[in-house]
Amino acid sequence: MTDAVLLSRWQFAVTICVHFLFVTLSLGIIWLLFAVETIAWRTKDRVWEKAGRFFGRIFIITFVFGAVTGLVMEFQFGTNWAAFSDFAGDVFGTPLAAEGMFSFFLESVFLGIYIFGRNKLPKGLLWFSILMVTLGATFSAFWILVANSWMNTPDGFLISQGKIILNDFSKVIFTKSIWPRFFHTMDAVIISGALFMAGICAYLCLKNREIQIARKTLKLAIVVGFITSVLELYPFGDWSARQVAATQPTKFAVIESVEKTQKREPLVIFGVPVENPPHLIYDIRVPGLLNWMAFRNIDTQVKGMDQYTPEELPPYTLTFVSFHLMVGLGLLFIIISGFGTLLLYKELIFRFKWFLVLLVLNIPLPLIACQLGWITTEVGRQPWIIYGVLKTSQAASINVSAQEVLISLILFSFLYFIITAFYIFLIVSQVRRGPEPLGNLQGY
Amino acid sequence: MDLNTVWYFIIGIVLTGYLILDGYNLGIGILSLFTPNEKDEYRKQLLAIIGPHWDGNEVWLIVFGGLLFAVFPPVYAALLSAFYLQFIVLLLAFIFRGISIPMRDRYETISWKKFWDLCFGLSSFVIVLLFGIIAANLIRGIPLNENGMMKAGFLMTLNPFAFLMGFFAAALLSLHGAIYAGIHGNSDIRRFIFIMTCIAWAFTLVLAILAEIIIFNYAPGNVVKDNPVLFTIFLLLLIGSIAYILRSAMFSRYLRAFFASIILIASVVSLLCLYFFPYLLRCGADPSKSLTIYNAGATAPAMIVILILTAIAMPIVIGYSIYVHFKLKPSGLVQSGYY
Repeated sequence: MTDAVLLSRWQFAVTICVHFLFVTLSLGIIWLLFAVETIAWRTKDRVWEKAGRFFGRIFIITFVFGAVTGLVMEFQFGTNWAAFSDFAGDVFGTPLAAEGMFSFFLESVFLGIYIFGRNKLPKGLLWFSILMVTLGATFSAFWILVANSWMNTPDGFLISQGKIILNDFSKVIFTKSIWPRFFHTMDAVIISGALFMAGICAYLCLKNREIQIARKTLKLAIVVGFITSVLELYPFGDWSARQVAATQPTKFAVIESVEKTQKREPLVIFGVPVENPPHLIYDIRVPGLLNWMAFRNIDTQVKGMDQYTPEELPPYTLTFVSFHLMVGLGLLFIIISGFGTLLLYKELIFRFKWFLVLLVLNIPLPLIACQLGWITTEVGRQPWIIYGVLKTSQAASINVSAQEVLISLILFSFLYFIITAFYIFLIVSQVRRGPEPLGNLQGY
Repeated sequence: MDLNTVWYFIIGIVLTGYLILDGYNLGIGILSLFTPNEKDEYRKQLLAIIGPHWDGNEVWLIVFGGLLFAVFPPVYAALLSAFYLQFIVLLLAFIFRGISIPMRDRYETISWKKFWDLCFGLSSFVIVLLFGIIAANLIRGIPLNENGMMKAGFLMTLNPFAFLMGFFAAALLSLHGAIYAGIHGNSDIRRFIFIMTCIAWAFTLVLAILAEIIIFNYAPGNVVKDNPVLFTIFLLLLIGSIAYILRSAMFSRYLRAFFASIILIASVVSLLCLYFFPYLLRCGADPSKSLTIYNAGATAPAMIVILILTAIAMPIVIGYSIYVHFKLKPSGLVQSGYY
């Protein structure tokens, strides 16, 4: 049985990671696309209109991939995690149903108008459609984060006859971690979208293709990227970390590598994790800073890993490394986008070829940072599937054999690898094709 | 009527909505397998017809899954894990159907297009076939243990009746898809569509009669005695709509035929629900282990919360979906190929 659990965990990891790649991009691109379309609609500037079309095409491809891989996520709770679904369904099914009804419909129905109504419908209606798509995407992020936050900081339920029953619905939605998680995630995906857009425009600039469109959009993207990167550090990242410190002490002890409980706990700046027992080598620490960052008070105690048995703690190396790499990448984005924003002065940015190359190379990094953030959250929640309530080992389907999961895991891994390749192929060829030239009067 | 029954109805309506809306996309997918090899423009047109709405239509399935999870959690858990490999294949087929649409238009090479057309058509067929297979096994009843979980392998679910239902589902949705394509297709594809409508109609009729006889024997109660009025109404609607479809297709009145086809699908689902109410997952060997709407329901507060959410969301969703369907007629979109 344990084998089936382990294989199911791998399958969930593979499917959620690939799904979230598409989600990060579509959710990030849609906000920038909304900005571009709004400017285009208000200014009636053909440069912005063409930019909207170009990124609209990239969005729709990303959206399709996100939608089809998302279907897998919803049904996997039943196929692989039947014990969890049965146990928690009274509370957990509702946000998933609400996500479909309040957001996916809005998103996909209006996306139809935005794409296929391009040449026929009034521009105000098209703008309204892209607004609805943006809101739909954001609502769906909200509802799925409600579900995830409830698993991390469960609230508003009772346990009766071995099952969870709903007690207070507003507490289920507005758990302690929903708002920090929502803003942290939304800001992260907008950084990804902005830097993705900046990278693509940088590529077009380097290739000297549709330079007017590329330049205008690049300026917008780099400024948005800078603002959101700074906001991600403070307040959103800080808020998220303090929330974890307050609600999930085991996760916090591991991500910050608090080996033993002591006064004035130092903050780890750098360190190489080693297992058995979990500790750091080559570490650099700032005394007392962790207490202040977590609780705004250097005398509040942070519980260390020594307070728990190893079974109560999440995997050490993976959680620690994911968290710190994410933070490191976040700081890198501030530097890159900040430097880019400075270079906007007298359009210097377009003369710094190496910087444009850097922007192109940077495209995958925010996506990696988002993945690392979620690894921190989800692996850091272990051994619990619902923190403090249900262990992951008790959550899998008991009537599905290890062989069956192995077959599906192989199928998913193989096919997800292929479809990721297809996606990259589609986006690369879309970018190579570039925006429609401004001279082309067809359409608008 | 109690809360559990209300939810049984709503979930039935959402399932019917899904089958009606995504049904025509899936049906058109199956039909695309039968287009003459040299007629690329047929396949292009069929894809253009489903283009604007397929994705929105698929959301009905997501909502169906979400509501089943929220309202009947043990059923959601047992159903999906019981048919583990079937659902995995189903999900993979959904992925392939979705991505073959943007992939197809990337290159103009004939072999490239052919590959993705085949991928699109086959995945649509596999999806519908699996719907039928899963439905057939639910009708026959599955072996459940005390925890309401199935104890049986993959091969057991692949029996002749399952394939009969699979092909019935394929015929029914192909008919539905052909009619929808008839409304929106232009003149050069009309002939092909008419032939397809007739073939799908004949298959639907024969398989429906066969399936009906078998299902009648599997049903736990005597529906004719318990619910004579509803049974007669649904049966008459079923027969009437099948007849009306052929009549209106003969005169190329596809819009009327489409409404008849909607009634046909709705009456098929309604008849099945009527036969098996209040069972959701029926245990063939020991009916006391079955999951019914009463022993497998969420708690009343949870049901009320979701009912409120649904009552707020669904009227708005249906409103703008209808608006968008009228605003965006697929006809004349053939050239746009947005992807």
